[in-house]
Amino acid sequence: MRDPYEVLGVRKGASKEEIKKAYLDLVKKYHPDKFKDNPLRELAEEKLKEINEAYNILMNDQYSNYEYSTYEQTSLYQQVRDLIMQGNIAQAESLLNQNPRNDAEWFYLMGIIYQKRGWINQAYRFFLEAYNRDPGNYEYRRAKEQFEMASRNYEWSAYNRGYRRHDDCDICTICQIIACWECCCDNDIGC
Amino acid sequence: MFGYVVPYKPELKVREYEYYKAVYCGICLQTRKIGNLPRVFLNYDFVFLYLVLKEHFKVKDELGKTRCIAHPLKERFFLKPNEILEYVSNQMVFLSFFKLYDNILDEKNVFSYIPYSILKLYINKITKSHREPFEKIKELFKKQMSLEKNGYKSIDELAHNFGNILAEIFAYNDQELLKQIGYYTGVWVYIIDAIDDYIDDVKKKRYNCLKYHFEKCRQDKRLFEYELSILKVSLENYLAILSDYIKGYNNSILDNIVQVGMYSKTQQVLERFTTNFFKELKE
Repeated sequence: MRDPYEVLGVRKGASKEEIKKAYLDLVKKYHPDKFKDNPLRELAEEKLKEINEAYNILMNDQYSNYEYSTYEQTSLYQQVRDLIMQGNIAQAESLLNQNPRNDAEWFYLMGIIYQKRGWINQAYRFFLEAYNRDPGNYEYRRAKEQFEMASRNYEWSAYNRGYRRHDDCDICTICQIIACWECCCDNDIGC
Repeated sequence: MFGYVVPYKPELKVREYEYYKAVYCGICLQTRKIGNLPRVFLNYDFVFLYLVLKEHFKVKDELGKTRCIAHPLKERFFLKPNEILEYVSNQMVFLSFFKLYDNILDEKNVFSYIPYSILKLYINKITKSHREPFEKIKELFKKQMSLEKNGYKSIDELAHNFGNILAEIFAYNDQELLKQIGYYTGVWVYIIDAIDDYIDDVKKKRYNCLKYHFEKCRQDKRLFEYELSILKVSLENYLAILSDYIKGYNNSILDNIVQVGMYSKTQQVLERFTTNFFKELKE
């Protein structure tokens, strides 16, 4: 989650009036009605969601030093895992996207979501990120290696079925080789 | 599809090779019934589609012998028409239609316009009775173009949509397994095609879904190798899934195509890409 002050474009510690004014201006700017039939519409909707969230946080009186506690963080991941278990991939993804983090677990869960969807390239990228952030974790390593393993097995079966790397060994190349060989023989170097 | 889904010839038996060619001729002759123009777009990928459908519905097919325009001297084997062959040839006309459509919008290519309008007539002829699948594919193609126009960065997003197009094409009688096979074939074809065209696309400033990942690799050889290895692993994973589906059919030509043919194509394209990337893209 980005800093709510930054989202609304006001200085830290701004008064409620200022925040409200900035909020209303932004809503006007990104209102979906303005983006009808526009490819940017989805982007605008996302932006608007973010703005609404930031506004709600700032207008809440309890807001003092806005930061997620570790407790909230782990409960978020638990929630996502539960959603994945239930097969509710779309909701799990939107939950993660609403709370972007930079830790290994976030990337790992994202990878699982993409894997479930069958988007292997993206899933593999996420697993690699998770693994790079925490190479000691068994779960992350296994997730990454399972793709590498599948790819190696596939390669192996191709080799077993007779695939050879340089299969362009046609008559021409054979002739060339023989010709070269002959030269060598004549010069008493080879053979 | 663009000629990537082919068998690995050195490992084909002679009778398999003859049969493979016979199917190819069969599709060509079947397409002639629709018109002569679509025959130009014939390619080997549709033999794969025929073989999958044939195995799926356990169709017994027959061969015949004939002469044709392309091979006037010697009589050749061809596949006698059946329901599936007709379906395959129709799908081929659809796909070539969309390819031309894409060309026109993409490059404003006037030369594609004439065959395009002729093909349009054929399509009306084919889809007279039921237009629904055609409309579905058309919708997906439009989505594909709008995704490309908006410069989407995600390889999978685009490959996924293309996979769905092929899933529709493969899904004869709406079979789920066929859809899956079509989907994974499509995803693989899309990515391999993007790799193959990458250098050309950059030079001509066209859209390519790999641009986001490979643009920053121009100066950094290690980063390039890293990105390439990610692509390789994901491509082979798609193929591994596909080959699991295909194995169930127990057809040696299909096994050859998926396990060796597509693998060797992957290797070829990646190798060419690696050698040309730094050579051709100097600024």
